[in-house]
Amino acid sequence: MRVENQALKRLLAVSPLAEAYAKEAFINMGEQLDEKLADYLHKTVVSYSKLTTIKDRIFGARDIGDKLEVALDLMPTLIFTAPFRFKAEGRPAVALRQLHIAVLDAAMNRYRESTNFQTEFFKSIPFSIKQAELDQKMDLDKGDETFLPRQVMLEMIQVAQGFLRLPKSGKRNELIEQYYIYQATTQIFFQFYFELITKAPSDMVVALIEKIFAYLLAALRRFEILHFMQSDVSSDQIEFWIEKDAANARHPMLRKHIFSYAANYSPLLRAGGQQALSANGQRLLQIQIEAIKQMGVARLTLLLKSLRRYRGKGPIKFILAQLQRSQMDLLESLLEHLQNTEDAEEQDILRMAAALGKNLRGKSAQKQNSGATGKVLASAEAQRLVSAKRNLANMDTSKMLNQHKIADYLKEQLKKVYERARKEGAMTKDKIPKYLASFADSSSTVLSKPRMAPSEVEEFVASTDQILEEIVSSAGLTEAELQDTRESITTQSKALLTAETVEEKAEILNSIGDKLMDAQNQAEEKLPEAERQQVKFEKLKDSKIISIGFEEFSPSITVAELMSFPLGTKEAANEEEWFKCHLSYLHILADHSKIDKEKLDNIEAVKDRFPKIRYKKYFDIFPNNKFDDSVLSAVYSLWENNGLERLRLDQSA
Amino acid sequence: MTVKRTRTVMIDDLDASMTIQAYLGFSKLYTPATPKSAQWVMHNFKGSKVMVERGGKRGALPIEKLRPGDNLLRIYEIPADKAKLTQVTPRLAAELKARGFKSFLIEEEVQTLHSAAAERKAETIVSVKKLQEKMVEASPVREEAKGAVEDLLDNARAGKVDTKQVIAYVDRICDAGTSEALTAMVSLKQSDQTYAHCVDVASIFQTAYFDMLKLDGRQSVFRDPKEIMLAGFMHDFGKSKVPKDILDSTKRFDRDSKEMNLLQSHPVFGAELLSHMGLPDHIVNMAHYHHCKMDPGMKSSYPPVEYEKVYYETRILALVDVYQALVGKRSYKKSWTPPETIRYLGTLAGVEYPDELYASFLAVMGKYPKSSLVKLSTGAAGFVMNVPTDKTQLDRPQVALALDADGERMTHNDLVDLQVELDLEIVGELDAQDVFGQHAVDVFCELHVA
Repeated sequence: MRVENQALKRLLAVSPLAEAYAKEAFINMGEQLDEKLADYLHKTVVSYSKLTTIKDRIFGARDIGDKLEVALDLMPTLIFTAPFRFKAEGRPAVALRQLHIAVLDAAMNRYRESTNFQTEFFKSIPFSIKQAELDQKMDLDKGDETFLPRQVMLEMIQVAQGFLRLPKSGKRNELIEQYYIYQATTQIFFQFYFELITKAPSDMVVALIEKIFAYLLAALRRFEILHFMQSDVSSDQIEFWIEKDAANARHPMLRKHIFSYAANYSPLLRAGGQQALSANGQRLLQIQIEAIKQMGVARLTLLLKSLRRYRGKGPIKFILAQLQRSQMDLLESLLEHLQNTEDAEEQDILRMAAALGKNLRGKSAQKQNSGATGKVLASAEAQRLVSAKRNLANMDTSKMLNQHKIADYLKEQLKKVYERARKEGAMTKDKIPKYLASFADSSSTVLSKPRMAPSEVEEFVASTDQILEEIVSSAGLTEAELQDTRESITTQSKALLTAETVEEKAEILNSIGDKLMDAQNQAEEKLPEAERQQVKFEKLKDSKIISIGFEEFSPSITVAELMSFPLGTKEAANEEEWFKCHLSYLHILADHSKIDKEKLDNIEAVKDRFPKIRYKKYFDIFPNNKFDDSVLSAVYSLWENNGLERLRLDQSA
Repeated sequence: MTVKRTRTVMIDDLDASMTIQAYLGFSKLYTPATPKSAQWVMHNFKGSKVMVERGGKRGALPIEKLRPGDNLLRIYEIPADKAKLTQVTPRLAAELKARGFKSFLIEEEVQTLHSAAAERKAETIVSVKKLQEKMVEASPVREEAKGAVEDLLDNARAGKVDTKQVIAYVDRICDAGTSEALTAMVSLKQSDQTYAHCVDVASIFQTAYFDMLKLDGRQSVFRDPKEIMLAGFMHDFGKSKVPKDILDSTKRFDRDSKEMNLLQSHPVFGAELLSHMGLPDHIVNMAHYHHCKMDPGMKSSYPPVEYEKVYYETRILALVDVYQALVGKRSYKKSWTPPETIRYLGTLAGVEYPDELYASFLAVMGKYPKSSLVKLSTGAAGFVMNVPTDKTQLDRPQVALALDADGERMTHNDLVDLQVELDLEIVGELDAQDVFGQHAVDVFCELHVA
């Protein structure tokens, strides 16, 4: 392998996926392509010596490997042009696709903070440059070869043209790979674009950035429409494969989490869509929103136009909604600006903004009429801040539980309540987190205050009342029973006024929590028989058993999971004895006091309600009529590692 | 004692202990016979008799009366001076196969059941003594080799790759006797998840590999046994890029934790390091893909790869790797007995690796691998001493009794052949290290098998 390629391979090894793909790519590349790629990298890096602002850094690097590293750092577009540069068939073509994926994954790690590139980019544009001079420098035919932005634009055009030439494929894995290439490229370049736009020193530079990126962003949009939206296999279908992550449909390497990582790279693009962002994605989105709030109207309009043009309306609506929540002055200025334009794109954005603006004005007017505040605040955030400061000043912080203590306390309390609900109540698993979350929310307010005012106790009672109402609406409590519970909670809540220590408050809250649980249990007892049985069955399915072996630290699984195992003695198990092996094993567990006899009876009583899942193969955990721990352990291992999916045929109720 | 017996065999089953009594099955060359084939038979089998079908009728004829067009059914009563056509040699077998002869009536001498068992027992006693001697020698070598692997990984972590020391141990262990002794010791000695693991995996791999090759009719890709041992030693070399505290931790890391991600990167790291060292493709492949499963969608399969790219050798190594990991007792986990592990692997066959691969592994290791401590139907317990050559009898090995029915150590260790003692059977297996503690190897080596 040529030294340039060795250096590239090393530089790509910034993440396991990129490293693995790069390794495969260079294995498959073959000598000819290896030579060509190395020549290209060499030639391009040397050509960067012409770029005025970075030539010293390129010259200063010791060898071609170091030069390449400097080049990738200062000119990130280089790495994206390489996979599009060559035409190949057979294994070398596979190698190029693998290289492309390696490049994209590496780029998402390498260019998260592309500050060097941004600095050089802005540094290369003279402060006093006039528009005409800039246009002359950027001319593609006769422009200034030493001007870095021009070189960036040339390379972006190469990437764009590469996309327009990308052949269509009918093979699932190739489609998923192309989809990844498209998704990741869009995310990476949009992020470059976004960061440059937000940091550009002048509107003329903003216009320059727009010019540089326009062709590539348009090409990506065109690619998305022609390649996926209008092809035999739609992007929805590909996303479905990725989301489902089924053994028979997924790509061996580009799995769901890889796409999720890509989608969270520049989260603004996905904002407003169906898919949830990760915690890190949320954080990055927040940073993007904060940057948008700092923009002037002209720059914001340009960003919205670009998003509309290249990404559709979703992100625009999201941004406008964010502005409505926390930066209404900017939104109003935007509306004003858009009203004075005849540009069709801007008119469209105006329509979206106007709808939001109307709501906004309505709310603002209501506030003024109500007299709640003497003056109109700049934003809801600022309003909240002032209110928080005022409250803080009134508080005696010495007796306060700090945030960590509250979290620990609630965790402990909720654990107890949850255990109780799970063991005794007939509550379904869907409802538990919901009610507990509501209660925790209300309780945290109570615990964080050293002394409560009567109005605050009333608020707390109101919040528990809301939980009670939800319980009533989901099942049947009589008016008398509801009233009884309500009164009991109100009485207990009043004690919060005189409670002096946190322990006392905790005791009261615990008691109120119990009361709510009792109400829930009471309500569900009144459900129609069929519904009640279903709730009980769901609860039984989700309950844990000590499953694999009789050791102290044996892993535990739920009843439903055990009943889904392919246990049996025949290829196609007898319908009537479908769960014979499962139940025999549960009997052994009962003999070893690992589950209650009552639970075993309950499972046996409803065994026919468990789905009978058909597999290609069944495993006999009782060879020679004797329980074999090793076989069950192996089945568990297959289940734990998704290996049973491959054996699964279908599912019948 | 031997007796003579006759039976019908196919061309591929002919061996030098047989004498052909009659030629029975023929290719199309002789059914019907062509002028050329008829002439060849008449010339070479002069003085013999033939049975033919002519015009729908069957009859016996002197061979001179054979005609083109006759369907040749049998050549028999071959004269004594034609011994070169009756006494089986590899050359004759090859020649007959090429000439289109398919089956034969042969005569052979066979031992009576009693004498066969006695001979087998005598052979086992000799091999057990050899195994015990080798175990005594191999025990300290294993400890030193383990240290060498640890040094290798530590040095590599510090940026210095020096395989000299490891290669020295490869030389010492790679003879078949020592690797077999180390294989038998796996269930008798404590292990760890990296250093002793590499030594044990290399030994088991070498022991199983040659026999599996024979069974599967394959050629070795290795240049010599040393290379096989080296491949086993180096399969986890990528762990040198994993911090030592993670590597030596006895904690079970969460599947999505950073530590687990690092640990799961070791095959890729290993492949890269070994390819940089210029080791052959098959050794790199073994390091790269020894955690890959037939179903690439399994969470335990990494790095992602199509199973076709996983070499036969790597597939065996993957089996051996799991086998050692489960059987090798570690301070912080319950170990599995070898028979349990074999059954565990059997359950995973067809999903994690092909059924055929497991079938070969089972045939080579046995249902009760050597040195497994098993309980017999009498209540006594003993160590398994051989893998039955008759693969239909894998559950009936020879067992050297070690404990009586009351669990007391026996001073005289009878070798029980379960293929002869048909009223006895194995009813369970025991963990030798649970029963004998750290002295399990000593107990095994001190058995007086007779």
